[in-house]
Amino acid sequence: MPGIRRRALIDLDAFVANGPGDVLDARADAFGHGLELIAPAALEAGVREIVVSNERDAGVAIAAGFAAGTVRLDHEASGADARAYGLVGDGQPVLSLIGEVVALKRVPVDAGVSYGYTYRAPRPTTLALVALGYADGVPRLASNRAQVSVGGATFPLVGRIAMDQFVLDVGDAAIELGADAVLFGDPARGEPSALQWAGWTERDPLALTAGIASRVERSPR
Amino acid sequence: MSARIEIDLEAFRQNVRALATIAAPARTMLAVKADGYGHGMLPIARAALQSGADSLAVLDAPAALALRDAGIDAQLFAWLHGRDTDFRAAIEADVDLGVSSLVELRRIGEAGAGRPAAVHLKIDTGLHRNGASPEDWPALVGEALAYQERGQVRLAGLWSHLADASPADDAAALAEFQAAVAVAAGIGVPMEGPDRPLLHLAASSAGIRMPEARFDLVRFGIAAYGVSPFDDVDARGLGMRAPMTMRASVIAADGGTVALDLGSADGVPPSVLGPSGSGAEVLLGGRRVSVTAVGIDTIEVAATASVGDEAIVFGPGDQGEPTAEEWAGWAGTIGDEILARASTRIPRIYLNE
Repeated sequence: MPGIRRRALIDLDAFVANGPGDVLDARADAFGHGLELIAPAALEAGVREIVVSNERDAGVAIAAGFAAGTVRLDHEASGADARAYGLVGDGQPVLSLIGEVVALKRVPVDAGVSYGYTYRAPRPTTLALVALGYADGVPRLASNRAQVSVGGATFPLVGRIAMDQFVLDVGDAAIELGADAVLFGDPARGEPSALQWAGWTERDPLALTAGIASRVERSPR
Repeated sequence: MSARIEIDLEAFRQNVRALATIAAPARTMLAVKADGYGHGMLPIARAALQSGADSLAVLDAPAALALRDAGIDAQLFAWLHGRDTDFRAAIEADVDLGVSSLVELRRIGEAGAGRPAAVHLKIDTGLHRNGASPEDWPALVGEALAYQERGQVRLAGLWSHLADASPADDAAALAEFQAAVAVAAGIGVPMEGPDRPLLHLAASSAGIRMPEARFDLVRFGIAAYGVSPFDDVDARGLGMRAPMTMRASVIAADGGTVALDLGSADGVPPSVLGPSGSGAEVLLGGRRVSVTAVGIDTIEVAATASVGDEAIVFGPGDQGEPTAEEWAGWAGTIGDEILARASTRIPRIYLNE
């Protein structure tokens, strides 16, 4: 049934344009990009061999059209090709992580935000509640560090990230209830990048995307 | 055997029994959001209802519908809603709904369901997430009463959530909650008799340490999953036992380095080796060994072992293995995040069903 929107939009044109090469490392559900979307695009891009993490993912690759002999199960593949996913150098970003603004609230100066009140509003401001949290793979380490884009502008993530939600300080911006909040996507659209988020959360960008939970719906952009 | 997660449902039931005893005579609602804090929502929901909880907190309406579809007929509470949330389906499935604003109240009241919606009005007592601000509270209560008179809603609860910032902050929030309840009473919400709404404020932390915050019902979450909500005592100190054990197997051994068959995609936090981290350990061959790398599908530890040997990443601590609480400390986070991130791609095995 319809509920809160938690989405990862996958830009398959960008993936193909990045030139995934002959052998694609697609472990961990194509590093969280969704192997069911990535495997057919990889075939289209000329990938001849695909590396996956487990039997289930091998089945997904075979169902997408990879011959059984071209699917390799390998826990320890090294040198994962971050370029195919646009997560290194000048590749185009493939995955955008998008949450929904589910509440807006005007607060006075000094209003504490979220558990432990680790942020207090430095002035009267509007807080936007976004329905994604660490259970969705938004690492709690990003609390009071990260930036998130809403309606074409970028705002600081303030207070502690909770299991299912976090708060943005959007100042006096006119944000709509139900708006998309883009955690990371394409800097060319003014959105924060997965590389920035990887820095804020102290992990490899492929670990960041691979950690996006299954309750986030993957779909083609 | 390869990597797997074991869930000891009897440990979970014992935790719930102990918490329900602490809360009594207040009722116990068990939070099963985020797929039962990573333990699997349905088995956890059933176990909670077998051991002293009489209601379940699910976060959002689709999760409540999934429990109804599985045959759970207990009271269910959902309080975070999106623009596309199907309130009519939730009301017709008898799901209690948290309401933070007039916008939400009107969507629920006008949902066109064939029965009144059970609504719990939320006052913001300082967390500044959702919940009505004190200046918006009288209008929200008044309009809910009007919808109730028309048979479109039933005012089933008044509630809030604490920030756990400090005892003084929580005491201030308690006073704000009591003030909001008094405002509601002044507007005409009955505080006696069969039609009075449930009052609920406390989760694990206040449920255990703040008796004056228990009111009619405590929404227990993390403590039932064997993680302490406090900084000054761990779960075992509270008499709670962790139901989850994460196990791994050695898949390669070379010199003094051993690879185990799970990694960050299974929920092992890579930040233990980052600037905010302080290293990590697993139990292998009866002793603690240091984690030297966290990959996507594997972790490396400094040890000598044979392929097929078993390791415990975290568990209740019986055999000297680390707990999720210890991993949280190493990763600069809280145990809730360690549990909620536990893999859904490796097998979950339920013990003592």
